[in-house]
Amino acid sequence: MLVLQDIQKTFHLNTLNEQPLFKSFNFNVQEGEFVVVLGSNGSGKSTLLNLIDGQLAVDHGKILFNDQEMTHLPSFRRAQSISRVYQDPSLGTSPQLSIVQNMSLALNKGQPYNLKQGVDSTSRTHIASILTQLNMGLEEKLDVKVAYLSGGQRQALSLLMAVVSHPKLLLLDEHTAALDPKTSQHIMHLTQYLIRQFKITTLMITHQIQDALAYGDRCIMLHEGHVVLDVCAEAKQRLQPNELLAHFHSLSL
Amino acid sequence: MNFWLDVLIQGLLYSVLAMGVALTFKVLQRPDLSVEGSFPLGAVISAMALTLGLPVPIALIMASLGGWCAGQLTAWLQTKLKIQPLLSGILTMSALYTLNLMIAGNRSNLPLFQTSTLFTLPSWMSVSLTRWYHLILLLLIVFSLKLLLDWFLQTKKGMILQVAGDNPKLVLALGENLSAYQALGYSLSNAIIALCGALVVMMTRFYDLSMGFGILVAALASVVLGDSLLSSTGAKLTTMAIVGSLLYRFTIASALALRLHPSSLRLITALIFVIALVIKPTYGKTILTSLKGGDNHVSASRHSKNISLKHPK
Repeated sequence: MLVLQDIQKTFHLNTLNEQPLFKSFNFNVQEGEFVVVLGSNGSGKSTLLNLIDGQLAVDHGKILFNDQEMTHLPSFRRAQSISRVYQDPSLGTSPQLSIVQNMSLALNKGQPYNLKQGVDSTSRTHIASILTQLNMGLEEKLDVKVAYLSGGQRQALSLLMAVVSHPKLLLLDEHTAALDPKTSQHIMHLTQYLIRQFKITTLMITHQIQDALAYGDRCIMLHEGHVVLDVCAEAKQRLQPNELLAHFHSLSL
Repeated sequence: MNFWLDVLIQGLLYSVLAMGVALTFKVLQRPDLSVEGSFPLGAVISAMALTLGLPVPIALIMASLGGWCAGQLTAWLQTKLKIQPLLSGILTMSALYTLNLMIAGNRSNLPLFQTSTLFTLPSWMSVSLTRWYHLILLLLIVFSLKLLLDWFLQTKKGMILQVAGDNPKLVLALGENLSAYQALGYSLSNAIIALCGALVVMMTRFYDLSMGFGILVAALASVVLGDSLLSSTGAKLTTMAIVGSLLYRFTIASALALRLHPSSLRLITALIFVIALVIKPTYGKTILTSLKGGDNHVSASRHSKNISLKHPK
């Protein structure tokens, strides 16, 4: 469903600090796949997501999404079918709006944001019932401003907001990295549950070797703009932590 | 009595300005310095319209449209030409200065003593009721505008406008055009600011090019004052702007009543501004609870003592 063809991307192009990252990068994601992306800092993981959701433009190459070219589509147009959750929990929600207001905006994605009231009584009960899936008691705090929530609660809300509009592709950018181990685990379980429930193709960046092994049905490792490891299905299940770590260390030499 | 009537009239009149400024300052969370151009723009447009014999509602609509266009210009400089927010406001303000001169036919002031305005007393009313008539008109205008804005900010479009200031990235993530919402915010804000300019010129019956000078700091002081006192109570943005404006005008009027020289007003404004920025938002709640008479725990009574020292009766 997602095809990246012959992608070239250089940072600070035509300056002394020119830094080529992707030289001729090719990458495919199949419909329904849950791909875990590993790689050290500067390997191009986040750049990859930025190119896919349009926050960065490619210098050369094509990006196809469901057989349609979207190489030059602006970011907010791609957002109709692509959602993203960031590492920083505050990036996925509006702190000054309440939980129910945030959710109602997310549920409205894809339809016009017009002069109808954002929240009414029927949408309130609907939103409360969706929030119970998070198991965090947020359905009791519908009118609390998101600014007063903890990082874990905000990230759970960000995740839910990203998926309720049924996007075709979900990009997770180290979305549990800023959370404590227990919350991080809860968010990962939630992620798995929501992805399956909404049947969303997913790309997840992580630095947690354990998560990379436990979740997803394909694992890739990026290094200096190249895919250096790509394991699927059974091969991925057989993968051992020390194997992955050994791979990691061999690259950083 | 006259003192309080004046404070109420001035406070309500300029609360329109405060609500407009709050839209950029609090909702979009961007500074908009073009206020000092769009305020007299609304004034000069309505003054010219009235001089040409156009009816009052048309003059008010034309003034608001003028302000709307000024907001579009500021937003265009920012989103299309990628000029910094602060600078684009200054550029619009500078351009409007010349435009205001041109609209007035290269005159820097226009008297409106011959024409009837919104605030002209109906012939059947006794002249002694003038101030009361103004007060009732302003109450109607300010509260309709407040209700309209409150309603708008709760619509889907209005909520996205709030997100545009709060978390611009989320607007894009929801598949909406951020620049369009920023333009909407600036336009709406400046339309209201220009409307206030029109109301002021209709009240004073005199347009002067310099009537915008210092208006931004006064409006911001009102917004910050209302915010510091009321934000912890969960009050609406418009309520905070109106209360802030009333308090600001009260302070200014008190200073004048204490026979301080009018030239010291800017200094007083700066002082109010600093005090409003420094006081803790929780003080607002404390004042409210002490007014209600309930909830007398130690910290609350201590804070309210502090406050009462600051405002001796």
